[in-house]
Amino acid sequence: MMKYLRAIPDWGRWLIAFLLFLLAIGIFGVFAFAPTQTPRTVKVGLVLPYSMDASEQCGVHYEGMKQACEDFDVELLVRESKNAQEYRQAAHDLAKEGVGLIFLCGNPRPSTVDDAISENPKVTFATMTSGINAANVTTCLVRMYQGRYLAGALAAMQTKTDVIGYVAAMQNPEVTREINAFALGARRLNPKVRVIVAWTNAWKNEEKETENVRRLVKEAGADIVTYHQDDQSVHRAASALGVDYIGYQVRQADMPEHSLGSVVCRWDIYYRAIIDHYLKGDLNKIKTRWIGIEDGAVWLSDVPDRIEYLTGYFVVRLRRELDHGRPIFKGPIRDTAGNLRIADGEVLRDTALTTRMDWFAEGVEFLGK
Amino acid sequence: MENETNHPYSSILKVAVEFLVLVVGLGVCAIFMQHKITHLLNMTMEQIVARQTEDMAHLAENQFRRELVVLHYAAEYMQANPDRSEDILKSINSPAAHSGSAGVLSVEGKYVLGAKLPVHVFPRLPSAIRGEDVVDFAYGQGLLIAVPILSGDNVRGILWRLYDDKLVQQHFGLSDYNSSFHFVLMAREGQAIVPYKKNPSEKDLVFSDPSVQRGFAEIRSRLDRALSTAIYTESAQGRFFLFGADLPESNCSLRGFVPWEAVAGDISRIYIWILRAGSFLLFLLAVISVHLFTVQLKAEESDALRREKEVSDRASQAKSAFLANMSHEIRTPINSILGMNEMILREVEKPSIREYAQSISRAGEALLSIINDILDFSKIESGKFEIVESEYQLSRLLKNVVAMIRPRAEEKGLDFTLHIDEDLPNVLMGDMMRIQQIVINILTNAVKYTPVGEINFFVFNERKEENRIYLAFVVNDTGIGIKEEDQKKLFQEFERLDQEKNRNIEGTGLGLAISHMLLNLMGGQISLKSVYGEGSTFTVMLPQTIVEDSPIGNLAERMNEAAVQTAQYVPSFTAPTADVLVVDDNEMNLLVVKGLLKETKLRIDTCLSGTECLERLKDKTYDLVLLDHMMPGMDGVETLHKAMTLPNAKGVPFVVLTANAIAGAKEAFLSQGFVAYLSKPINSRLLEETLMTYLPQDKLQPGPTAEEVARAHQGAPAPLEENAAGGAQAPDTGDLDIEQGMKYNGGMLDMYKTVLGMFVKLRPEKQSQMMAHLVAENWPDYATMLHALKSTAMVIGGQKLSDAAKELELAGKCCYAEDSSSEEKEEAAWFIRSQHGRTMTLYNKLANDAERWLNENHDT
Repeated sequence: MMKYLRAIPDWGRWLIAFLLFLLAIGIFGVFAFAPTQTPRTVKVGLVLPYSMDASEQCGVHYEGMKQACEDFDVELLVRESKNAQEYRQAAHDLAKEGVGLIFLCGNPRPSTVDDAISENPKVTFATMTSGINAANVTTCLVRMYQGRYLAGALAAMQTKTDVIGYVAAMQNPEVTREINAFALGARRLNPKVRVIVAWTNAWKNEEKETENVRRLVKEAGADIVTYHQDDQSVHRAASALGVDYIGYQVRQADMPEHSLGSVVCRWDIYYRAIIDHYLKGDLNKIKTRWIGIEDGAVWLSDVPDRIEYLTGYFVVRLRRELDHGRPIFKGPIRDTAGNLRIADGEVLRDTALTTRMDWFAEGVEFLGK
Repeated sequence: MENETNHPYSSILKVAVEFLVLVVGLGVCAIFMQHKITHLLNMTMEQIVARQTEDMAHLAENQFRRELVVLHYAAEYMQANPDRSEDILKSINSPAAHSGSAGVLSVEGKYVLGAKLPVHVFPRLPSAIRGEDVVDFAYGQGLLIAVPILSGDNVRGILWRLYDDKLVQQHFGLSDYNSSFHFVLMAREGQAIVPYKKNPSEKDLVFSDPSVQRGFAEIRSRLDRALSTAIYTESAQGRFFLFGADLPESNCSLRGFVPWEAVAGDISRIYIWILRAGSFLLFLLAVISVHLFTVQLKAEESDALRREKEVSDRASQAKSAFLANMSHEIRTPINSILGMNEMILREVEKPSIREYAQSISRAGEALLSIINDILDFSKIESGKFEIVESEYQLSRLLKNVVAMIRPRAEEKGLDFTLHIDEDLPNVLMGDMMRIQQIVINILTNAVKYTPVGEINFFVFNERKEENRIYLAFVVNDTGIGIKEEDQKKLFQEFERLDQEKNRNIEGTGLGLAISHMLLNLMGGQISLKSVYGEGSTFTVMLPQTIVEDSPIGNLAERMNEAAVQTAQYVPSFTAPTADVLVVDDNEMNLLVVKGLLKETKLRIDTCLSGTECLERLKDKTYDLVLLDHMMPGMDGVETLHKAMTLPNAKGVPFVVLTANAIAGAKEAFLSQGFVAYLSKPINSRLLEETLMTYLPQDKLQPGPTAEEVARAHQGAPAPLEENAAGGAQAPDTGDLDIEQGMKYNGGMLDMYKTVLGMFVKLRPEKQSQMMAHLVAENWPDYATMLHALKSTAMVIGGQKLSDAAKELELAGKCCYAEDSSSEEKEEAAWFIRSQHGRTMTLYNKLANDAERWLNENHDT
């Protein structure tokens, strides 16, 4: 060994020493500058209640979530499902894949997702439905009723018959408060207006919806219809009957002849708000979060140019009121029976919107059997 | 030399520079490490402070909740007792409870009761009408908390309360968290933290520092992705951790700072420990460096020593080679001297001449023994010496010794007495020649250094085991003795003691050293007792294996009685029917051998080369062949190998003659197929013994008696003196030195003439052969021929030619020597080409001179 070292000329030894020095610096540098922790990529999961092919709504949610994730540069994992069993499994799978935030889309039953939530206490869950209670779950609700209020106002200005048809699936706080908000908005500008509700008892039933529209127009005399269903059968039915309609959750960007616009949610804004809170770390600090028109999330979209200027003016005025925090359920409000539900100078508090909305406001009527 | 003296200093300088570089490197590393550690520590501290900030935020929220609870009670009470609202407000505002303003607003945000409130500066206040609790901070106003006044699910109004900046800390008690943490509560999106003040506090100064402000801006951006955070900042006001946290249930945010020392003060001890550890490592490194440096120096020293040893070893080898060479050079003339002298002793009867011849013989033998000593020593030195054990008779050894020593002792008038143990076993196993050498050496010394008195020689067994005997040879003399301080040096080489006093005593001083070394090789030892001026006793102890335990008998007596006289040479045998072939390229040597064997009446044929030898062997069956080793063309070994294939030569013993007396030569020759080995100059007794051994026993006859020999010499050639006188009268003989030539030819004129005649006659042939070798660049044969010419010229008295031939011979050898460089060979060849002509001229001249002299002295 020494013999070989001796055989190396002097400059060679210096060179070797220098190279060793560089190597040492390099190794030192690698250790010194190597990131001690590799930054964890943030993953967000989305569980859809149907496949995107089967449900247009699921596609809309996916697009919104995708847009929000792109804005925050986080990874998105999506799981579609066909039934409760698959939905449950999807929630478990996402948690296993290291997803930090799981959004449970749709209206899952608490029993479907409770175990996934309790087994993953470090995962943040968000739902759009109330009733699931855990420390790591927050319900994020949209004040769609604000959009209904504006839609009601628009319809009240447009109607000639002062009768507006409302095809609705079934009675629950969400549907009820939106009907009430619609009615309140309508009667704000046209106290003569009657809102006729026709129940279908199903979230999707094209036949029934078409029948209801026909009856609302032919029997009740409605010249404008709107709906609270998962599909858009009402659009076709109304167009077929030559009456105007207001859409729900679906853009009418191509401005069909009979469309008066659509009450929509900007899901990207909705999801962006959720991810923002998640990233900050305080999403679950509050159990129920509302997002509404003041956040830009709710919108009466695609109102056609054919409406009168004054109509538009009034609707915009109302919208500005809402933007400034004017509550819709502000007294005096009476129910269909004439009882004073909210006295003058009073405002219904938010918690009542999701729990005790079991009455209908003055002006709401029901289509008989 | 200069380099070597500078060496240690330059090394030290080099090491110092390297060490300095190392220290600087370590220093840079240390600075970097400190930076890195500080950075890591601060990062860790930031996390800790951030967590503490989060705790503070929680604490603040809990405080808010407490206050909200109070307000809720008040709101409920108001709902239940609307008419007492004002009292309730007063109680809330009473200094005993809390200070600050409070009031009631309608759901439209209109004033209802209590203090006035600038509603628009509190953006979160509308949330209260949705039934939420509100905590809102407005810069310049303070902290607002508000709760809805409920009627069932409906909100009827808002009960609020406002705390100004001072009250916030006072009432929410957050300053208790840690006295080192300075902080303020602010709106999340708030920008400026501290307004201009006339007498800013220390805290205000910190908050208004630009780098702290930058830090808070960073905190603001970090809070987008965290509930709480902290960063380390260095500012003009000192080192701080800045922290911030958003309160999730309100728009409030905490901002503050804590001095670095308050969080990480103790951690600076880490540096002290790192410094200590680093210093310790540096110290270790220094120690190791010094150690390695020392080791390296030692290694270099031992390198230098090894190189020196290699040099001296090479020198020693060169010395050995030189000695071996010299021995050859010296032995050749001694060969002639002793050979011729032997002839004189045999043939001359005149006592005075015999005495001279005996003197020559003694001197020659002394010279030989010196050369042998030197050779032995060089052999032992070079490790080539081997002890060859064989069976021998102790009696014979002792006889030889005594035969050699007794005459010398008696010559000096010393009493030489033998004391030989009669029970000693006679046949032993060992290297007889070497033991003999040792004993003779000691005895010779005794004779040399004893001017008067006696020498006692004791031989006995000191100890005897089953088949092993420890022989003791004790030599006791009454000589000059050895000084005590010199006794230790005695066995060292080249030591001759008392130089002044012993100047007239000959010897190399190697004898005892050689004896000592030989004994070491044989497992024996030598010791000495001596009293200066009184005498010495040398004791040699030597283990020998017993072969035959027959006692030696009363040997001493027999030998003591035997009167040894310098008798006329008597051949030990005659063999008139035996044919012997002697082969040597040197005619002189042939003459010597023939002369030595004259009295044995052998039929001797001679020839001058291997080729000739083979021719002879084809024609005739010889009883023995004496073959010279170094001959031009075929050398002795080659000749032997070829001869062994001839039918006539089957079973014929070949004895090699050589002047090559270097170590191992004998064994080499015997292994080649020679039966015996005779070194030149040839010892006539050894020659006769060898012949007696190897000649067919039926052809041997007992030698003649002394009288017969004497009778046979009657009428021998004229004595030397007369001839020499005749030679002296001769006219100028040119290069030919008749006197020298006669000396080398044992003073025999007719022999000298024969030699000269042969020299003259052979010249043309030899010269043409030399020329042929020169042209063919056949350096080995050329050198051999010049070697022969050198010897021949010397023997006939042509010193000049001999010298010239010697130079050419050496150059010729150089031309084919393995260890010569190509340059040396070139030079040697050039030398030969330029000098060959001159030498040949000398050769011609000498031959002419010889021829002329021969013609002039033809009749004599």
